Amino acid sequence: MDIDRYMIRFILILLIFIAGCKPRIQDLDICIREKEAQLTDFHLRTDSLGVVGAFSFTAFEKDQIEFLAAWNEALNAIDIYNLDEGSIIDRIIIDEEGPKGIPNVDALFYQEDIIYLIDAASKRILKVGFDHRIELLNLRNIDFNDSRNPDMVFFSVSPEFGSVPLIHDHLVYFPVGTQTNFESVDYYKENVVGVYDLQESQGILSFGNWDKGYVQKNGYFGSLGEVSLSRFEDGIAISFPISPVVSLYDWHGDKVKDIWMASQTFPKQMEGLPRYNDDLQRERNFLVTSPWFLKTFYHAKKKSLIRFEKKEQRLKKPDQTLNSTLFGEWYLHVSNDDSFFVCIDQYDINGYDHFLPISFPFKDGILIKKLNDENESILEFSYLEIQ
Amino acid sequence: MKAYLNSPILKFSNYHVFIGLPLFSTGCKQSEIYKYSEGIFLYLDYLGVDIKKGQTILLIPYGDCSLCIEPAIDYLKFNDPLVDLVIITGEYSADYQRIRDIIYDPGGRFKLYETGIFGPVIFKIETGKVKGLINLQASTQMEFERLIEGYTQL
Repeated sequence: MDIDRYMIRFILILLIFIAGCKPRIQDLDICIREKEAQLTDFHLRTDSLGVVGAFSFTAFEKDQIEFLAAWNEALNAIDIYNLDEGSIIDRIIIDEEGPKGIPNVDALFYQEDIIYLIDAASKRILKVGFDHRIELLNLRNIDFNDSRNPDMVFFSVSPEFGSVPLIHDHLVYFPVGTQTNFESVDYYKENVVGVYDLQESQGILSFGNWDKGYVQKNGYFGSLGEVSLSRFEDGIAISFPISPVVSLYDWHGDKVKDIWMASQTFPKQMEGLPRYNDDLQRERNFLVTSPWFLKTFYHAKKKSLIRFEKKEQRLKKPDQTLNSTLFGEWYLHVSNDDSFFVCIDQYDINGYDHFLPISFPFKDGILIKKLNDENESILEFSYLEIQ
Repeated sequence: MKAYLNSPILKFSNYHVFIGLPLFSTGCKQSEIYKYSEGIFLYLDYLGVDIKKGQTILLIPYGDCSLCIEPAIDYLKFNDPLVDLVIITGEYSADYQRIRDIIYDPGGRFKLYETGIFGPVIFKIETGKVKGLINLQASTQMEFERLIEGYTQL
C-alpha cells in the first residue's frame, strides 16, 4: 500500500519535472518561403510645412481611397494625405490645451471617419472627425476588472513597436502596463491588453500575457519591453520585440493560436540582461547585436500579418565605431490568413537607407519611408509589393 | 588527513584561492580605470583632442535625454566651469560663458562610440588613462553646480 502511494508520488513528481522541462514554445510549424524584395519609388507631395518624421501616424481606407493621417508636431496638427493622389489634402490644427486640446500626442488610430489622438501620460483621447469636429475623452482610472488597482494601470504607447490602441466596433483595445519598476519581474506579470467600452464608458476586461522571456532570470530587455497590438481578420494579434511568436486572440480576449513569425534561426527564447542593470551602454550594445522585432501590422487587402526582424550583427565596425541599433540588415516577414498563418514569406530588407518604423500597408504591398528626403516638398518612400 | 587534502574538491578550491587572490587584488586596483575608456579615447581622437595631455574634461552628450542635460546647459549659460576642456556633442551656442577650450560636435558621431556616457560627465585624463569619471546627473541647475564645483574644487 505504502509502496503504491510512493509510486504515485514519484510518478506525479516525474510528470511535473517533465512538464517543466518541456520547451516553452511548443513545436510550431516553421515554414519559410524566401522571396526577393522588389522596391519601387513612391512620392508623396506635401506643402513646405508637412512632415512625416514622427512615429505617430495611421493609414486607412475610406470610400475605396487610401489615406495617411500623420501627426505634424511642428504645427500641432493632423496632416491628411490622399495616398492614391500622392498629396496632402487637409490639415486639422489641434489645441494644446483646453476642452478640445491635447498636450502631447503619442499615437493616432482610426475608425469610421474619426481619427483618435492619444496622450498616454494624461490619459486623454481626442476624437477628431474629417469634418474637423473635436471631442475629448478623459480616461482616468479605468477599471479593467483584473487584480490591479485602476491607479496602477497606464497606457503603454510606443508606435514603433506597435504599442498603439486598436478599435473594433465600440471597443478600444489599449496596450497597458503596470506602475511598478519595469526592471522587476512584477512588471511582466499582469495582462498587456485592457479593453474599454466606448458606449458604456467603462473598462471591461484585460487579457494577454507577457512573453515568458520577460519573466526568466535574465529577463530585462530595456526598450524592447513593449507589446505590439495588431488587428487581423478575426481578432487581435499580440507580439513582442523579443519573441518569434505572434499570438492570435479573438475579440473577446480568448487565444486562438500561436504562429511562428520569425527567421528559422531566431532563438525560441531570447536571453536578456540581468535585472537592475545600471549599465546603459550594455543595453544599447544589446540592441545593436541582438535580433529583435519592430511592430506587427495587418494588411487587410492581402489578409496578411507583417513584421520586421532585425538581423544579428557585430557590435562594432572595423573602425571600432558601433553599428547602428536600427539601420542595418532586416527581414520582412509576411504571414497570410488564407494559409492559416502557417507559412511566412521572408524578404531581405536593406534597412540602411530606410526608416522602418514609418511603414504601413498600401495597395498590394507596403510603403517604407526612405531615410533622406532630397526635396522638402516631397516625401520619399519605397513601395514593396507583397507577392 | 592526506587523503582529505588530496580530495579533488579541495584541490580545486586551493587552486582557485591561489589564482584568485592575485586576480582579486589586481581587479581592485583596476577598478579606477573606466570600463569604456577605449571608446572615449577614440571619440577624443576623432575630435582632435590631445589624449596624451593631462586634463579635466566636462562632456555633455546631446541626443539621448534632453532632460538629463538641461541643468548642465543652463549652468553653462551663467558659469565657466574650472575644467580644461568642455565638449558639447551638439550644436554651437553663443549663449555660453565659456569661449575658449570648448568643442562643439554637431555631427551626431558621439553615439557611434562605446563610451558608456548618457548624461553629463566629468573626468580626468592622466598618463593616457581616463580616471575619476563621475556622472553629473542633476535635476536642477543648482544641483549640477554643487556636483561640478564639488569635483573641481577637490
